[in-house]
Amino acid sequence: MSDDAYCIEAENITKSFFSRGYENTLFSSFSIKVKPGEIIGLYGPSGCGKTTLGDILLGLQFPNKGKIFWNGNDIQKLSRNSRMALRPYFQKIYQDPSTSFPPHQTMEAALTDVVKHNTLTTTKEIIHQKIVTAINDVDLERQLLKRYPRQLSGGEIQRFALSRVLLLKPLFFVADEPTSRLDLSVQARIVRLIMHLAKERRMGVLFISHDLELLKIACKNVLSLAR
Amino acid sequence: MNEILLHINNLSISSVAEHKKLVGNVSFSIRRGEAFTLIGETGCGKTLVAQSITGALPDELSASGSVTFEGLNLIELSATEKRKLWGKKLFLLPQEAKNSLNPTMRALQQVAEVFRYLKGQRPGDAVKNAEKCITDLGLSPSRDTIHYPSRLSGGMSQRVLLAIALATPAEFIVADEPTKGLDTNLRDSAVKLLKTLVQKGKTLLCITHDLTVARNLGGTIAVMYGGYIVESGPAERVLDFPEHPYTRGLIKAAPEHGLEPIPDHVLRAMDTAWNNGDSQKSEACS
Repeated sequence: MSDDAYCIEAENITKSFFSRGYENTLFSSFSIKVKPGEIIGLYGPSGCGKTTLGDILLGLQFPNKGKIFWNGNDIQKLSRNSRMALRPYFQKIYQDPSTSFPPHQTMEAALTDVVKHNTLTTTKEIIHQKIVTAINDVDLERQLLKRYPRQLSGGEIQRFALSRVLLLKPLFFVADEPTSRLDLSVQARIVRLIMHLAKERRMGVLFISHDLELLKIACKNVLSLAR
Repeated sequence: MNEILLHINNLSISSVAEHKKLVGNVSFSIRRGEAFTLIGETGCGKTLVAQSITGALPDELSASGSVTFEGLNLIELSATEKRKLWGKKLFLLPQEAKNSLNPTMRALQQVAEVFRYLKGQRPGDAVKNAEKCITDLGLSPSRDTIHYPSRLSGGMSQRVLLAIALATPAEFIVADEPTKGLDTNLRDSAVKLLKTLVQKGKTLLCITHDLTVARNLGGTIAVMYGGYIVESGPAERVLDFPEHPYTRGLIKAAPEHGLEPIPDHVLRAMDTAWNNGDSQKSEACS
């Protein structure tokens, strides 16, 4: 992919909800372009549709108007199969770390499932090796793999969520308030990690937050979504 | 000085199954009409302290020590006795706004219930008062809260919960991260509303990660790390002249102060100090 290509592009997207005869427009004619390795901040008042915009970019919700391009492909024109083939490369980190992993599975089992479902690798050793590399990248210790989500701190789970995304080698991911439940020191650590990895792995990131100061440090550009 | 409303003495919380101490020897008291803020590490037991006050501690955890509220030791109360206090004397504004609202009831109705059942108002008046309460928080009753909670964003659900907290007749309010998911403007107006409550004579225990919230609420701040209170004092003193290395690190980690995480060796030194049993000793880690 050349340097000028965008890993994700949205053109003039509009999203409205209809209820009881009212049209409630969240945003209209919104455009955004993200290059590999670039972190773009998304800022806006509570309830303005930041999460919905992130979901639209990932193809989890559809806009009423406008186009989304993944790596230059218009996702509404792609066949289902080719869309599904691109799907793993567009990922998301959720706001609430404690609910982003199944409670009855150890972290190792949760990450093994991700590798198994998304690659052809099946031997235990190779899967384990991949997982260990992925969690090393986010500064987690190997012993933590045996734990259940409730036995981990918020910062640890959020790093596991980041490693789960990294296993899929994404081109782009949405970080939806990834640090709003974390203390300031852990927040600083996670944000620095995202900044480092985005640059090193050339991933595009949409960083959603309420904290403008934080976005100013972490992002190249900050877009504001007004209601 | 007002009388002490809540006194926590040597509160320890441990997990029975894992033989692990989660909160160690926490003691503090809150005076009537005071704002008290707990800040500190993610997962260090702040919420557990709040839960032991409201009686919502998970069954698999056991608490020792005492939590005295109006002459009652809250840890020893039976479920029925605790329930009598809820909403009337004690109120918990829980952490997960989305999970705390009833998904099968429209948001506005959930606020109106407080007026109807705790304040004994007629249904029509209750809804009117609920609408006013919601409007004060910047939501529109007809556009936003007419819906079921599934249609609300994180910040909107948070404000619905806040409206419930503001409406409740309870004199002691425990707010677990009341401003999470709110933008700066809404956060400041929410803090202002909480402060109004305190000025009206209610007592507030607030848990937060946001140092601006802690500063604006004023009152007393206690800083927790690893299950212990490492430092406490008047809000401005703690934030402007922090004594403990953890507090200093936390302030430096704020985005406006450079986003520098607390170095590992500082955290390790504190952990070692605790394992040796001297939780109060801060020299060990500086």
